[in-house]
Amino acid sequence: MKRHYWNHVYMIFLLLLFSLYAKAQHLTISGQVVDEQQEPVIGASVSIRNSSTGTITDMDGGFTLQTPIDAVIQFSFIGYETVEVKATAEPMRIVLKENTQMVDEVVVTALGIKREKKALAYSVTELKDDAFRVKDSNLAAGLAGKVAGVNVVKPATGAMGSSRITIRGNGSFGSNQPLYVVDGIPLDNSDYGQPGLWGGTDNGDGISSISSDDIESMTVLKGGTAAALYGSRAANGAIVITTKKGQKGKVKVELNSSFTLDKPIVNTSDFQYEYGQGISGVAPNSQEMALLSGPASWGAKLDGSDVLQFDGVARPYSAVSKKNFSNFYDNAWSLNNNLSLSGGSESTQYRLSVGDQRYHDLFPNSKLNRNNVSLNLTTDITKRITLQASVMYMRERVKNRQNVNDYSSNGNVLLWTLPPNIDIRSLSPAVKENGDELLLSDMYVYFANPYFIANKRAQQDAKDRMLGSLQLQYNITDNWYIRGKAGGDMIYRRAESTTPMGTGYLKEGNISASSTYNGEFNAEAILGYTNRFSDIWTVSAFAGWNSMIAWSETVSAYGSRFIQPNFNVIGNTEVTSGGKNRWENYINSIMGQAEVSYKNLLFLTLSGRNDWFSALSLRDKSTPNNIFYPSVGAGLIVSEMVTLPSWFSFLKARGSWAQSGGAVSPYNLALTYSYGEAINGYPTGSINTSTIPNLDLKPLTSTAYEAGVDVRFFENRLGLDLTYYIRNTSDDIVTAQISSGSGYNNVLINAGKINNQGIELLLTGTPVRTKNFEWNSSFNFSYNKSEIKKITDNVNSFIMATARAGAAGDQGSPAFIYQEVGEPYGIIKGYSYQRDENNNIIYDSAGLPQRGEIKKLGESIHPYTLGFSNRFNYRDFNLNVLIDGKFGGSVFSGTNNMTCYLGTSKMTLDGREGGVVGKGVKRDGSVNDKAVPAMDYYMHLANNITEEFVYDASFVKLREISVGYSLPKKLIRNAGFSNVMISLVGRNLWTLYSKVPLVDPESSYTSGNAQGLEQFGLPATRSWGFNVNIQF
Amino acid sequence: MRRYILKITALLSALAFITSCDFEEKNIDPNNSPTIEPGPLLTYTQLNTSNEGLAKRTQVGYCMMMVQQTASLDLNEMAGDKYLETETLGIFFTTMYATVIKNIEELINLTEDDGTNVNTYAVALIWKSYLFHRITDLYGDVPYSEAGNGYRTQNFYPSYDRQSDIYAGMVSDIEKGLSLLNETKEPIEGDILYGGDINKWKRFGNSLLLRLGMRMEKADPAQARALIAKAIQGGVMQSADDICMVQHVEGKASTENQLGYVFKSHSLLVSGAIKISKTFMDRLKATNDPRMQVYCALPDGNTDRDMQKGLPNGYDALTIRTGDPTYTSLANYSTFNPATLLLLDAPTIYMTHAEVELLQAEAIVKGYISGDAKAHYENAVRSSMQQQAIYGNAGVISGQQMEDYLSQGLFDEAVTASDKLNVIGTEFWIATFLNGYESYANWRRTGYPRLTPTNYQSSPNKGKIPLRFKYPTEEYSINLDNVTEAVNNQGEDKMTTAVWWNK
Repeated sequence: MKRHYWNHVYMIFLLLLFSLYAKAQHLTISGQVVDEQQEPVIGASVSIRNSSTGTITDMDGGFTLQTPIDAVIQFSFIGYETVEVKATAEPMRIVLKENTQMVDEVVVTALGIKREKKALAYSVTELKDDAFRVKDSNLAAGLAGKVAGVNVVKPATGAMGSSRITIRGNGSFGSNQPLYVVDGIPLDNSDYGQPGLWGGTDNGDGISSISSDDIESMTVLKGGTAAALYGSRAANGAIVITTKKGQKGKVKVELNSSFTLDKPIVNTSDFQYEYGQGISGVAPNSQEMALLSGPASWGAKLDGSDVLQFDGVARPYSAVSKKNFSNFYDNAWSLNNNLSLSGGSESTQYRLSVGDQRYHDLFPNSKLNRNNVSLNLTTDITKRITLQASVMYMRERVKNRQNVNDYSSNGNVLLWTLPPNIDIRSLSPAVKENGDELLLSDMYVYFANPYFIANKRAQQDAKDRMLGSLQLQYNITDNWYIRGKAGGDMIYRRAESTTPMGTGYLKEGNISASSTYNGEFNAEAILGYTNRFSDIWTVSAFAGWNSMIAWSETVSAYGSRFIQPNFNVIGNTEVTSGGKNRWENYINSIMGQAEVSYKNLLFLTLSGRNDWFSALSLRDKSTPNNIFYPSVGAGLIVSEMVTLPSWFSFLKARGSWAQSGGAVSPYNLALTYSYGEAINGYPTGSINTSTIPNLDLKPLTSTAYEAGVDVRFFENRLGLDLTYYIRNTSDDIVTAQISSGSGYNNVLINAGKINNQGIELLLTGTPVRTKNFEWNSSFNFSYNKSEIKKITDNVNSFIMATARAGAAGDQGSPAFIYQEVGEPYGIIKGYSYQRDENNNIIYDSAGLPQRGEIKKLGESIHPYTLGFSNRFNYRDFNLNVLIDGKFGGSVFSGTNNMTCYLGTSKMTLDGREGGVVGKGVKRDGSVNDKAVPAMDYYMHLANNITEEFVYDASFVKLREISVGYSLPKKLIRNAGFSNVMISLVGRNLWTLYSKVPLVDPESSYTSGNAQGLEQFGLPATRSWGFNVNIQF
Repeated sequence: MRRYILKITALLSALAFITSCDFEEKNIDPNNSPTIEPGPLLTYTQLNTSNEGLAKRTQVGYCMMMVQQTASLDLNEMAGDKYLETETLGIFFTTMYATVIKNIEELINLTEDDGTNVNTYAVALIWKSYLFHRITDLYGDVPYSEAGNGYRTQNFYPSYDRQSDIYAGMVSDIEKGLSLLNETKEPIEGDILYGGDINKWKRFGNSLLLRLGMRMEKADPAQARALIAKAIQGGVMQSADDICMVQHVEGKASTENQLGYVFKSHSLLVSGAIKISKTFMDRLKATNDPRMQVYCALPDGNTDRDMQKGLPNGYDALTIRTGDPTYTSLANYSTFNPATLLLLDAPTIYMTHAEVELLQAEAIVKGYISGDAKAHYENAVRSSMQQQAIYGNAGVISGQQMEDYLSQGLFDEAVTASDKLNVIGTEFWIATFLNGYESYANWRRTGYPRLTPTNYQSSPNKGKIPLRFKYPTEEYSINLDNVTEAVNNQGEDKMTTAVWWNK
């Protein structure tokens, strides 16, 4: 060993001598590297072949380099074909051609490892920063339609809401969202609460804090095969975000500004404007009658006569409600400014970015401000040691997130159900003289006055967050490197919500406040090795260790019954309480990966990871607290092996297999007790949970298979990427509903089996490419078939969510989201019509349709998604159009149900005069001819027949459009700018196809698993705006 | 190369393993306790026998509405007024098991074999029976022998016991509890009902036996008579002081009078969802009952007798004028008196001396025991009226008022046994106002007071006052085999199917 060491020193000494000698016979070359448009290429690599000597082009594409005489110089740059030229003494002008082949593309994969795309055994999609030019308030929601296999849901909760991203279907009854990784550090994407059965606000998620202006690229690792290295966190795939870094050269300043105006999309044509407030076809003849009628639009035909309203004022009995939406909702807008400064020397590069985003939502007084400051630093401490540091500070201030779904405190409900003859503005100001909420009727306390919600009810939250990482890489030799990384995501959030004194349904009011400190920290070390043997074999491998700690600590306080009005602090309440809750979760891991390639045409990758879980550890536990996650994959470049026709540019086949896992939360192994408030000095105590803990719990296992081909034709003008995958989840942790007779409502068990399989297709093409004009087209399509194979030994179905409409016997027909063996993930069930053998609806003697069985009425998740993107470049103009669609899913619309019950929707017009004669048969089989008064019929319908309110939620939307113009370089260069681009942008401009009346087909009240239900959310918005990008 | 890989792997594994060694400590829940004491568990179960949701939705929304103590135009949570079938019917089942039953079973597990807590164990057995009789009286056959122990037994799908077996089990538990109660042993821990008074617990246990015995009069007459005699011999409640109730404390949501709390937190005085029934009000007015000023008030708190008005049962907002042509506003109808019943520190009553006296009066009229029925009836009236003082000064009824009421001779005027039973049953109905579970059970058993069912058009039970609650719908998806067996034994899962003791 010792001897070896001295040999090395001796060798290095010789090498040094040799290089000194070599330097003697040198030549200084210089020149400029440009692209086909004769624009300088900055940062291109200039190196001597078979040597490590080289340089990089400067801001003008220029370079100088000392080379041996007769050296061959390589000029290369990512995205361009490499050029080799013999060194000459004269200034050289090198033209780099854009590499349209794309196959040498380098993508960021799991753990931030950069790999050649052609070496990958699985499908990945990388989106560059320009994919986010048309901004959404939630970064992840901007993925809609852009990646095959990725299903994006933005719930109807406004600009400050969260997003739901699922990749290759839903694999678990628990979490289905991917892991987000920013510059190698996992991001805490906790959501801080979602609306549920009884309403509530969407309190946002973690990913929304990241500014799209700071993003260099976003790589979607679809499922276990691509994300296997993340082990127990990989089952739902991973989205790896790389932030923008500085480049060598002059200081570059970039300003990006955009402004958009958002208009609510309300389908006023689906409401009725012919009959006014009232009951049984009669208009109110007194104030009392108006109060009894409340929001019921079952009155007489609007005739313009004076009719008393809730406030005792007689107003014309004519349709005024069409303008209620525009009179109440604000025109929402957003303003986004980002300024960045970047640059660097040969050894140190930096980028500093400052951003400010403001969103005024359409619900009055509802807004979001967000600030981002980020700093990125890369420095070569020595030739072999590189340090990378990045830190992001994110600040969010939100005012008045809106309640959705349930009625209480939901300002949308009355606005959407108000009888046609009532002007919303007659409910303004929001309060009576005594300060109490002005209600449409005291009998309907849960139909909140929207002005009261906007102006009196208060909610606010503030989030301050730091996301940072430090990475040190030491290239020990040309073959060995060691990389250490540590980083964390720390979030401090404060929230406060006030139901003020005088609120209709809660006279004395209440207030709650909480502050949460949560986040996660990761430390990681990797030892890597890369070598190439005899131009045939290339080996690249690493082994590493990772340690994670995640935590959350919440302190909350609550007060009810305000003492003084209009002073909304907890100290001003009669009854106060508070508490604290915290948890910590640890995972330690070791992992490794080896990639072997043969002649650059066959690639084989093996990886493994072993995770140890604190959440699975407990004294006296007999089952292991760790799990191993393996993966294997292979890629074969067929086009390099066999000679294909010349129009065949590239053909690759790939296949892989992997196992990965899903999250398990701490403290679920043993029963605990909690102590409650004392009464008369006696403390109370009880079993803490309604879910039976399980000592033998383990994470779910997701086994994924994937096979695919990547084919390119006609010099890569046409490409096809096709993937077939299987994703089978076993041991899914089921919070299984059990008989409450057991004393508990649920038990945690590893029992669930869910299969997903599907295809993903990506077609890319360049139909036209001329000197001045280019048309690039990209079409993605995916189909995912999910099937619940098992829930537990005893349970074959369970209710995952219940629609508010039918809950607790309220008006509305019950609709449920079920998980059922043999069915796809999340089906919508409810009461169907009772029908005869010929499928005719049966009416009873009163002429009313009857409830049939509770049956499947639709699927809550769309199995088909597609995106069609076209990009046109003409000289300095570019046009991007993205159309996307989803098909096959359904939605139960509580909004339609309730507006049917109250006679507000257009469907209730039929039969207002003379009654409704339902189409179908009587019990005896004869044609039904019994007329039922419209009010009785539609109220009965809304109360009993779920089927009527389940709609095909398929849609096609013009999702994004942008028209950009880059000002001519010559023009702006004199003004000191290097690039100026002005764009017109639009988002959700046009719904080309939808069958859901009244509401947007994408409406959902949550980003959780309870998809397929909708009720009184915030309307979707159509946005228009412009974007200015200035670089100098 | 391979050697390196092995070494590196071994090193990393060791590192990961060593750093994972303290994971056992890190998975101990810092927010909750791994153990519990018997006292707090007993307090919890006694206090939570009544909770916000059940007090409003099950007790008032169904029980009191169906026996026409209260009335409502509301179709949602107050659906019992019209005998509508909603999901609310299941919540008593799902809530009771998952809160108090689970914890009383835990308390029994904790004290059963522990010689030092004999009295606490005895009280737990008696209170468990109190809890179960409420559940089985509403639904009939329910999980009993396998209930509430899901964590310890890992039985997640308990079978349903027949009501006859549940009654036998409850009787046996109460008797066991009574035999274990012993003043020389360690005191009862955490008893908020009787402050640890062993004799009061004995009287309560016997009174509960009397109640169960009377329930069984038709289904098992011999056992019923034996129980009634045994209970009275053992010593039932003697005075208004023996009342079983939780004295609530204002200031914390969970310790407040849950009915008062729910009225406040849902603005029920404003919305007018809960009104005094016209049937009930007419009776109070006809007999000049002094309890009217304790029970009833207009939403603004006005207790003026002449202003009080009851709402007829069986109507909604759209049809009320057919039931009461004088209707103009809900504000004109009486509701619970906010100055008494709805006070946040007003007690929740579980059993009164008055009803025990009435059961004895009834038992005498029916010949189950011997004695002076009228004396027991009059004791009951006086006790019920005295008892109202628990609501403070606004609840105090003078001796003169009591005698004035009694001087009407309602009991003497009733000639036939059936009329006497009607007087006793009606008095029971008034005395147990705000203990709707008991009012409803006693009405089903005796058929008194004589009530006229309502006829709400779209009610599946129109014209028939329901006789039981339907099982929670989720039992059909989760515990299908067991609930099916119960339905096979008991009869269709309908509100009109009678439970075992009512057949």
